[in-house]
Formats: sequence, structure tokens, C-alpha cells
Amino acid sequence: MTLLSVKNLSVSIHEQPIIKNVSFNLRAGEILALTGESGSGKSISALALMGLLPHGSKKEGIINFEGKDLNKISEPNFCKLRGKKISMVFQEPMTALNPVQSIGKQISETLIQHKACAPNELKNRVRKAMDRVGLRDINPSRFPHQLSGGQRQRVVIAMAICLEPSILIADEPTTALDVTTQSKILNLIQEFAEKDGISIILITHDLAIVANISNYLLLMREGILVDQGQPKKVFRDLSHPYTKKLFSASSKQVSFRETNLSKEKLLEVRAVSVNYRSHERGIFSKGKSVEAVSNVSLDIRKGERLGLVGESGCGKSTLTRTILGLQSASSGYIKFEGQEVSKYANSFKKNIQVVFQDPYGSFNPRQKIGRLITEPFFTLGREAPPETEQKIIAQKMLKEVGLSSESIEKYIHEFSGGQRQRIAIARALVIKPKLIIFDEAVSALDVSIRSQILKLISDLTERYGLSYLFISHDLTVIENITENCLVMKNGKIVERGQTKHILRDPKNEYTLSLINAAPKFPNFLHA
Amino acid sequence: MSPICGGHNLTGIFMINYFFRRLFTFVLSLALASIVIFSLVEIAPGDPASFMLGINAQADTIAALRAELGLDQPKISRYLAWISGMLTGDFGISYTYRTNVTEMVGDRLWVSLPLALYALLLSTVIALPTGIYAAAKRGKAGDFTVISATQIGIAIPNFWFAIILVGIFAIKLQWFSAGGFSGWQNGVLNGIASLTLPAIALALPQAAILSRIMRSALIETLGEDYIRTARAKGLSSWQTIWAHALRNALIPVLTIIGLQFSFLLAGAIIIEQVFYLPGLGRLVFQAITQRDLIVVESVVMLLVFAVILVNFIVDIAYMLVDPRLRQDSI
Repeated sequence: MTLLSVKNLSVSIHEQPIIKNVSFNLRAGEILALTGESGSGKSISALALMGLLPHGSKKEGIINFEGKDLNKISEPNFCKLRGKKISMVFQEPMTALNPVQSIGKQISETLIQHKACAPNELKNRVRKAMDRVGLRDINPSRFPHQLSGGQRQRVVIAMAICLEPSILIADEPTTALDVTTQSKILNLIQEFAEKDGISIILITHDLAIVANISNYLLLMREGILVDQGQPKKVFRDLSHPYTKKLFSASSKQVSFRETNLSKEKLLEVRAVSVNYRSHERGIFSKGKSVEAVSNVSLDIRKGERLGLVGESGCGKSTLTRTILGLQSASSGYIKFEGQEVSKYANSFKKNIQVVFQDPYGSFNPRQKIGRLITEPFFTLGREAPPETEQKIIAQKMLKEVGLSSESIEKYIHEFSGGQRQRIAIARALVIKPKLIIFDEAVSALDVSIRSQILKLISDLTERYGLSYLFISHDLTVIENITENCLVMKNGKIVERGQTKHILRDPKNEYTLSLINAAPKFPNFLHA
Repeated sequence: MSPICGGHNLTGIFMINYFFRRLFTFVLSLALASIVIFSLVEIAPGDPASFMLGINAQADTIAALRAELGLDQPKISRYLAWISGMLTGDFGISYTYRTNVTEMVGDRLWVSLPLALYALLLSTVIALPTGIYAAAKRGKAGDFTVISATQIGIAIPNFWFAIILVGIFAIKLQWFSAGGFSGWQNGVLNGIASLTLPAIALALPQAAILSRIMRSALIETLGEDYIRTARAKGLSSWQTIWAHALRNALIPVLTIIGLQFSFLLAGAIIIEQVFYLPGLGRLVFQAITQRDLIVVESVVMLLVFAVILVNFIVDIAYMLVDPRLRQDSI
């Protein structure tokens, strides 16, 4: 039975066409996956269905739901549908909740708005909704900042499902979450479809998730529906070239040549612990001390490529900051080429560079690329080459990372996410460091771009004989570009060894749970 | 941010902690301010005794008067005497008028404080609705009208606006008196009437500024993800503003209201001059020209006290508005 039917839906924002002539049907109890790379128009399609397009948008076409055209109904009537018949869960659980209201109040708002129950029943209904989404032990009087990302996403889901809507639109509901939390949330969403008969429109860029849980998939590219069908069929046939390209990017292995490791230690981290003072303190009493990194030791030899895996909050970033000398260790020491690293010793800095996760946030938007790339030369002080030569080196580096040398005259906003990350890599390479730290460097990128960047990293490090520490929450990323890896949990290293061995035969329970939780293409595709 | 602690029941302790920490800052600021004020007045040229006796005074008469005023005492003991007097409500004796400073300041405060509150009330009552309206209609004609009006409100000097007000409402229509203060003893309504035109003149530019702050704070809040969440629950755009956006947008607005109150209390000198009101601003101005240092010190200290007190209240108000502050004190 068709519940929602969309015919020739087009949306333009400020006269700029965003989605063009999209048509599809949603059946009752079905999980419909809407997929594509960022900027393909997935989220705008969802907002069009909700009638919540941003200011300055125009939509055309027919959205037929329960005999009404949602493009034609009045705003007050649409308000009666939202939250009751059609509801939505968003990508960013950290910001999707009002910080100044308790979660119970925010959940009850949906019930009050649609006059779903008598005031004295409200408390019970909120409790029921929270129990339903797995928040059994959480008090509704808590505020969002007291909950973890996964818990907040459950609160958002509780608000969306407490009136048992016909349609739940979930826009990248797990992208901001850790793998283990992701699999739990996806299970929950699957349950709504199977047990409660709620139809789900699941927006995701992750093809493995699509293959695993959806009944039907729609693939969008630049606002156009390019491919659709049952995932089993679509991924087996790969009849559309774009589907084929995305699929191979998601599953392809990056080539990685094993090199002979020298015995020489480049970086030596010994028994390092880092403590933070908690903010919960009195006027005179100091706060409790929280151990973010606990007794961590690791070595990186010359030419070694080491991975560091862990979920958010495990202490990865604190460890990186300590290695860079931006944070002092409470105990233990870090040596770079035999010399101790500290806040005050600067000489090691020219030999370590970092590439961060957010390629836009880590550049000054008001400076030209040429200036941004040559910035590491400042650390060299007097040893820095003259400016004309710096410019030539910058242009050469840009070519190395696959950008034109004219780019030095442009600003960072003129580049796409993938190009920005290429620029970040060029910046890291410009003073020929011995060690590069990639801190979640590909986590924010689409699959096809991610595989290009990984290939670039693999090629360049081979050519320059670099060592690197690759930090990621995603085991599959580490798999193909590191020889050895460490798994970190609650500030401690819980497993270490050759990457291949760890992935094939993990000894630690936590590593195993990470591997199992990571979305993988189901077996039928490999057959 | 604190980690996720089991601590909802701990909130009370954190709130008390926050309160006492702010209180500590409050007292410390007062102490520092009193030292600065005292030192500045000491450094300022001009001896009050010789100023009071005129240029032809004999040296021994001046010395006698200095002894009488206590000016020959060491600085530390004079500072301590001044502070302890203040704490007990004794501000000392005016050098010029030879009257009790506490009474002088008290009289003036009964004009300045109601005027400041009146102006603040008017400014808030005008600014919040217009700011909210403009934010809700952003980019449309209503928004444009509010922006233009506030632009004019900021550009007009308030003394000029005061003169225009007097011209229309006092001289032409004769609804209000053109100046002076009839005193509260002739009835509260009379007092309010004589403060109305000055309050409007003071409130206008403040309202224009506050309205813009309200508008931009609200527009920023309306772009937040949780606003979209609320809309997805079925709330209309006005309901979203009332239920979610306003409380979050009030945080920057509170800061500005706090600053404006301090400004209105101390900075009304020109308007007091135009309307011939016996307020604190005029008192300080006269005291400075007459080297009546004890009055200057006392009034400035009182104003500093008011400013710091308002900031303290604003800090506490933040905590009530924002639950994150109840736990994570920064």
C-alpha cells in the first residue's frame, strides 16, 4: 500500500535549482533509503516533505499523503501533521535539543502540541516514550548537556515517535555517533518499521547501512534521482556507472606497499598519563582529577605507519595534543629523535605536522592559500627559505596533491571539502616533516573523496618516506593504510599489534565489538 | 563541559557554589573599585581646603580647615575611615555645603533611580516586542521598518530629542512641565509625570540599541538546530519563538540591559541638565567643579556599587535562564 507518493518534486533556493523532478513512492512499513554524496539534495528532499524548507525556497510538484497534496495545504494544517503523522530525526544530536529545557519537557511538547493526552497522563506517556527508545534509567528532568550524543539522539527519536507517526524521516541519524552507538540506533529504527509498522525514510551516505537495512533505495546525484531499486539488485547489477563508482569507492582497497621498517625510533611515548581537573569544584576545593590518557606507551619507527583507533572521548585527541607539545603530560615522557618533547622545546615542531578532521575550520578564511600553505615555514625561523622560493615550493606542493598551482591566489571557501583536505596535506608536507599526524583526516569526507584522499596519503608518504600516526574512529579506514595499530578505550591502550591480525583475529572484547558494529556490506553482494 | 555525571541532585550544590563564587567576585570588585576611586581623587590636583577658602586665604586658616576636614591624617587611615563610614551609611560632610553627604545623595537618588528604572522599563517595553517582530519578519517589510527606525533612534542625540519633546509636549500641548522635579511628596503621579519626558528622551536611543540586539540574538537563535526540531514536532513559527527561541536569545539581551541600567543611572547628566532635574549626574558634575572631593568619592562609589550589583544580578539571572551554568561553572 502506497502511503506517500512524490511526483516531479523540484526545489530551488534563491532561484538556484537544488533538486529536479524527483518521484518516488513510500509503502507502509518500508525502510526507504535516500542516499548520495553530500550536496546531492538528500536533506533538502526531506525538508521539502516536512514543509520546512529554508527561507527563499520554492517547491513544485506533488507530494501526495493520505489524499492531500502536501505542497498545497496551508501552514496551520501542515503543523497538525508534523510530529503526529510525519516526524523527523536530525543528524546532529548535540544541537538538536534546546539546551535550556529538560528532556522530559521537550518530549512532552509533542504530546501537548497535538493534544494527545490529558495533562495528568503526560508524565506516563513521556516515561513510556523514553523506555521505548532505551532511556529506561534516565530521569526526564535531566538537561541535554547531561547526556551523551547517543542518549540525545534517543531523546530526539522519542519526540519523533511518541505519537506513533505514519512516517519517520531520519536524516543521517547516526553519522555523528560512534560505531557501536550507531548500530544500536539503527537497530532501534529497524524495529519501528518491523514492529510498529512505521514507514521510514532513512537518509544516509553510507552504502553499507543502505545495503543492510533498507527495502528500497534511491540514489541521488546533484539533485537528480540517478538509480533506484531493491538494494540487493542495485548493488549486484551495478548497472548505473555512478552507483558502480560509489560502490567501488566504499569497498575498494587502497593499494599499500609494505616497506622495510628501520630499527630507528622516531617517536617514543613512554608511560604517558594526562590528567584534567574536572570543572565541578567548589570555591576552595579543587575539582576531581580525570585521567584522559592513562599510562600509554607507543613507538613509531622511521617509515612506520601506525593507526590509533577509538571512540569519541577515549583520549585520542588528548594524546595527539600531548605528542605535539600543546598539553603537558602528568607523568611519563615523549621523545622525538631521542630528544624530550615539551611545551617549551620548539625544535621538534618542524618535524611533526598535523592534518585535522575539519578541513574548513582549520584554515583562516581571510588568508590566501599561498599564505596558508607556507605558514609552517615560520617554525623554521632563520632556516626558512626566502619568500620567492617558498612560493615555488607551495606551487609544487599543490601540484603534488592534485591541485593547480594557480590555487595559491584563492581563498579556502572556493574549494570543496576534498580539495580543502588536499590543501591541508600540502600544508603539512611543505616543510618536509618526518612525522605527520592525521587526526580523523578523512572522517568528514564522502566515500569517493575519502578513497581518493587515502590513495594520495599512501602515494605521498611512500614517495617522501614519511612516517605517520593515523587516528580514526573507523577501523575500516585504518585497515588499508597502516602496518600496525593500537586500539584505545577510556585513555588506555587495550590492544596493539599488526593491523591485519587485529582486524582478522581481535583478542580484546572491545576491539571485537568495534569490528562487529562497523557497517559492512552483507555477504550476498560478495557472492 | 563536565562529563555525564549522575548528578541531577548535585545541581543544588553547584547553584550554591556558583552563587557564592559570583558573590565573592562582587565583594572583591567593590574593594578594588574603592581603592581605585580613593587613589584617583587623591592624585587629582586641587586642595579642597584652599579651594573652599578662596585664593586670598591665609596659610594657617587653610591648615586649620585641613585639620577640621581630617585632610592632615595619613592616607591609609582616611581611606579606612571613608570605607567604614560608607558601610554604616555615613558618607561624611560635604566640603562645600557643609551638609551630610548621605542626605544629599539620598535626595538625588530618589530622582535618579526612578528615572533610570523608568527609562529602562520604557526601553525594554519598546525594544523587546519590536526586536522580536523584526526577527520573526526578517528580510520582509516589517523588519526593514524596524531597522530603519532603530537607525534613526541611534543617530538622534538624546539632548536634541529632549528639546523636541519639550517643544511639543510641554510648550505646545502643555501635557507635561518643561523641567524641574516637583518631588514625590506631591503625589506619585506628579513625580512620574515630571520624569516622563526625561525618561522618554533617555529611553529612545537605548531602545533602538536593545531592539537591534534582540533582533540579531533572536535571528541567530532561530537558525539553531533545535528550532528546526521544534518545528518538526508541529509547533508553528510563532510558537517556536515563544517556547524555544526567546529564552535562549535573552542571554545577550540581559547583558545589554544590565549595562544600560548602569549607564542610565550615572550617565543622565545631559538630560538632567536639559530638564533641570536634581539628579546624581548633576550632583557629581557640580561637586567636581567645586573640588567637593568627599561628594565625588561617595557618589562615584555609589554608582560603582550599582553597576557591580547589576552585573551580579545579571550573572544570577544567566544561571536561572541557562541550566548549563547551574552545573558547569566556568
